[in-house]
Amino acid sequence: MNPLLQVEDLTVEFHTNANRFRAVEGLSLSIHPGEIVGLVGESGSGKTVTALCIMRLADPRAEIVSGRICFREENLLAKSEAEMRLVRGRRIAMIFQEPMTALNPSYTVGDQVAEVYRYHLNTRRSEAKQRAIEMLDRVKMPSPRAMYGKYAHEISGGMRQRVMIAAALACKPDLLIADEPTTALDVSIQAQILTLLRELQREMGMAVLFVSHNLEVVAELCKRVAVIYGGKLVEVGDVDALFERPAHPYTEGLLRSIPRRRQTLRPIAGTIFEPHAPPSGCRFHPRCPYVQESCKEKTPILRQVTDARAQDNTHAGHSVSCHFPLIQ
Amino acid sequence: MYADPQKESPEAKIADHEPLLRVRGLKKYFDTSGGVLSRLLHGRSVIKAVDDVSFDLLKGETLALVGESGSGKSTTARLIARLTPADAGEVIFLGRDTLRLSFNEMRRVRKSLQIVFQDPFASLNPRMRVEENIGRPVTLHFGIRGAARRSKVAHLLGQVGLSADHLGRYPNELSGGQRQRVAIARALATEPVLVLADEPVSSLDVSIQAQVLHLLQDLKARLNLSMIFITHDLSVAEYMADHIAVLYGGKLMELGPTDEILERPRHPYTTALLAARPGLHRSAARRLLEGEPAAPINPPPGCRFVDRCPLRIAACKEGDIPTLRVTPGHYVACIRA
Repeated sequence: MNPLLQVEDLTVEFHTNANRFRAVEGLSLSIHPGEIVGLVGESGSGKTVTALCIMRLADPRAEIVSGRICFREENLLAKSEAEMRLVRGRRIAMIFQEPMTALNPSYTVGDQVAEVYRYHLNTRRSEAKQRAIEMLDRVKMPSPRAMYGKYAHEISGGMRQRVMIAAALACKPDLLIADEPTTALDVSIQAQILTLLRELQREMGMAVLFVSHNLEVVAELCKRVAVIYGGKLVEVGDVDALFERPAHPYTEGLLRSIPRRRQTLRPIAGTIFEPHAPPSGCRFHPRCPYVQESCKEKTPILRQVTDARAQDNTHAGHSVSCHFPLIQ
Repeated sequence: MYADPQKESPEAKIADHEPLLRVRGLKKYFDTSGGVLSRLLHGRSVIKAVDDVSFDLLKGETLALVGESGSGKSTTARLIARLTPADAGEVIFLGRDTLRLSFNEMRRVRKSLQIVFQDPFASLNPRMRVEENIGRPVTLHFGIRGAARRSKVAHLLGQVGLSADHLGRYPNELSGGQRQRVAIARALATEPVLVLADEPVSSLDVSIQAQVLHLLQDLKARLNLSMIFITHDLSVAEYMADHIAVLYGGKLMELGPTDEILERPRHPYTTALLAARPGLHRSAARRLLEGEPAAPINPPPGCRFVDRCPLRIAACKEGDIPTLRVTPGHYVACIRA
């Protein structure tokens, strides 16, 4: 089966007054139809930039230096803005961390869902409203007809995120990009939204790129996960294999940073490098507990993990970018 | 450098595992009725942000206040520190009711009671260098200035994993994690016995969050601090706390030793919070809570959690919910527990 989305060797540079730096470097990632892939990284790792590049919504100061983003075997980067509008919101949709800023405060939330039908499917006004109400019902908004006329500030954060999901899924996209959609929510609401996303994903069969800094949320929702550090992919693989036996020291460090009872935290030392001065060799080497001399000089490349101890092919598609991976 | 505070201060009289802080019947209601007209049209609207909350904090221990938005956890901390005046109740700290102290007396108590806030961007003065941010309480409470103060501040920076290199920096030149370390150093500057930490790691990245949690545990052990740790994240509470208090809608739902709360939760809300945690090895369908947490505006009598509770019965809406003692130290406010 061909991948639905294939990001190949994506490199993105930011130009500011004094500096230019690479937010994403040589990143490759593929998502198959109906698959949920997690993209994990911390602030400044380039995960949101990658997501926005796929939507072609990245900051104008961000320049895509090289790479291809193929969606259904068409390079999105070669598309005109007019062509892109046929993809964006219809074939690929996105939801954001802060629905309060993503929603327009001066239109009712229902109108913003109906707009999707009117814009993409040329639906008549009355029918668009009807379908928007159905969609609000589908994302489990209580009394959707009354909710249609509410403004963003009149509803709770959880409800706003439901509106965002309704608008994003209105046209049954092939791919949903979810950028930290539950980070700003309370725990019980986060659980509701995650369950809702998984239910809708099963019903509609769309693929999801789930961007998050929270490993536990990713583990719960995703089948495959890609870990990025400082703009580079460090490890990718099946969620269970990768979290059970991480191959990259950074992934291991992230897992050890999750607080657990009666276990001493073994946090990763140091902080992420300044973007305009990336370390030589492996970008993680200044923080790596297993660093060797060669890590400071040679840049590692992504390669397949072949775990001798694994009986089955649990590590199929498990790749790591490290000179001395924790499993070979 | 200066006298050992343990020798003369009242906290020396309190032995380990004796109550350092005793909170009884703490209440704060906010009137949000607005003007005369809206009061006439809509009647009064009162948010019962903290409603009859009681607990003890033992010396050298950490109590986590856990809850979602509107549970009253931050307000409770602010009432204890008297940053917000309480409406009723007692806060006995070092043997005195802080709610009834004069402004000047309270100022001296604050030396022993310090707060670390959630957002280090907002809680540090952006126009002061790190040295001044941390040094100001040193001057205020100990009268130390000049080179002596600088070396004291450098020592504090060392305790939180920073160095004297950071003395001359402004907060905007620091990362989020470094800023939170400066905020912690500032809290430690007055040599407190009690630290109120209000979501100190919520705005930090996972790896930095782990560093700061690790640092707080380390400082707590080394300086024999007691801590009230406010968080919405049960995993963080589990790691940090000896006791956990679960709040909902301004009321204490359950209070007990961390192990008991995690392994034998009695309140349906605690159970639901535990089930809502995302996990690395979770597959079974979880039981979701209906509805959303809401600020307790004009709450009706009965249990605050009743509308979301899977176990509710008619009696839950009638009258006050008594607090039951499950085991010594484990309390639950639920008639269905």
